[in-house]
Amino acid sequence: MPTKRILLVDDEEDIRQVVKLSLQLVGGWDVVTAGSGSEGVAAALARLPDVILLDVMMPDLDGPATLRRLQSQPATRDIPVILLTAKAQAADRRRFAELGVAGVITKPFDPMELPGQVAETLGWQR
Amino acid sequence: MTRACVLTAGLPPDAAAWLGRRLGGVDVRAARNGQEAVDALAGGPWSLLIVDDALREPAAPEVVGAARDRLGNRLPVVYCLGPTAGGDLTRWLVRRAGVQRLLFHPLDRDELARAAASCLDLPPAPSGGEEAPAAARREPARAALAALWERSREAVLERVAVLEAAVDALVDGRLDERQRREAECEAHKLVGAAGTFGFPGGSALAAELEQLLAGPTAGDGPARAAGQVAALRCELEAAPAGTAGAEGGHVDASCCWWSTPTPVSSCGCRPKPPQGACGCRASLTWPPRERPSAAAPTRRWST
Repeated sequence: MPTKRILLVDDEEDIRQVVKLSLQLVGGWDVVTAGSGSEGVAAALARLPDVILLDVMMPDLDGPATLRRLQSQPATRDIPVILLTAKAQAADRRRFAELGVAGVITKPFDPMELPGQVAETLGWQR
Repeated sequence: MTRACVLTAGLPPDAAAWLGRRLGGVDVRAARNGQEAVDALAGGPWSLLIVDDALREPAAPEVVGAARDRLGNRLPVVYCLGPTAGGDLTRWLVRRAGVQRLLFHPLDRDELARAAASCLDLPPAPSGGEEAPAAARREPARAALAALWERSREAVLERVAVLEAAVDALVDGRLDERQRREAECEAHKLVGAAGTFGFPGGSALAAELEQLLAGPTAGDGPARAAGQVAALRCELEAAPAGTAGAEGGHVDASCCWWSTPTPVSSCGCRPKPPQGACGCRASLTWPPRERPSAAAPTRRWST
């Protein structure tokens, strides 16, 4: 089975490094990272990942705005998006669900469990 | 090899049987209420205790305290937090009661199985088609994460310094809007980063600081913030949970935080009391000063 390619969009360097390490070493997947929403859209168009992990709170282009851009592009509109957020209140979750994302993963997360969470959200066999 | 025995307390009736099947070869027994759990703990030995916040008579935190009083920190505990659980309970569970894993309602059964497997040092519980190779990759990943934390530690502590400066200004009544927003943003980032690096208590503290900084602060708010930020620094300057330097996997540096929201030393850090001097180790009664809401939390169980 070909290795999955994951695009992570998060403005925090720490989180990018942890997620990359987790998904590569524990998940065994290829990981591409972007440090902003605009970079993320460009990377999605260039690399066409199997899934995009998208931070919600980012300066300039935040997660929902980035998601709208991805959904407006024919090449990326069908790529599943999982939101990464420290906003875990029920109201936030309802709002995120309405955006048409595949799932929401709450920060903080356990790096050892993150690949399992991603796989479960997308129904991937690991 | 001795067969692992898991005690569940307060989980839905079918959950214990399901967990036993999922973990394969593990004996999982269910206590229907707090008293059954306390009685069962006396009849051990147990390899793992899984407690749901919905447990009553006695309540879940009291059962955890009873487990710690009876068995010390040898017994791993997974605690399933209700949707209304506050930061004070979370802090108590992580810092004082040494709970290894916190899960949140609505519970995901696969996540519960993975948490249990991790505490029992078993290969990851399969989820659908999940296979074992992921387990083999964990040790290198843990080592890489520890190295990453060493590289990131300074930057993370710089975020705490931003919070400390803002809280100092708050206490002195000179916190302006720019500094408040900057601190709120840093607190938000710490919510995600601290727990991800193995400091769940740090995430809980940062979340409270973020909330406190988000709105008008009055009354004892500044003093509470000072205590929280001092506790946050103490937490992040210790070894992360699950590493060799961690004390039982968790930090006890601010064990008097509960009862002393105000005093902070001139260096901005609450001095760590000698073990037992504050009585923390002597009693694990939840909570030291007041009880959590008596209202039973709503329990939801997702599949």
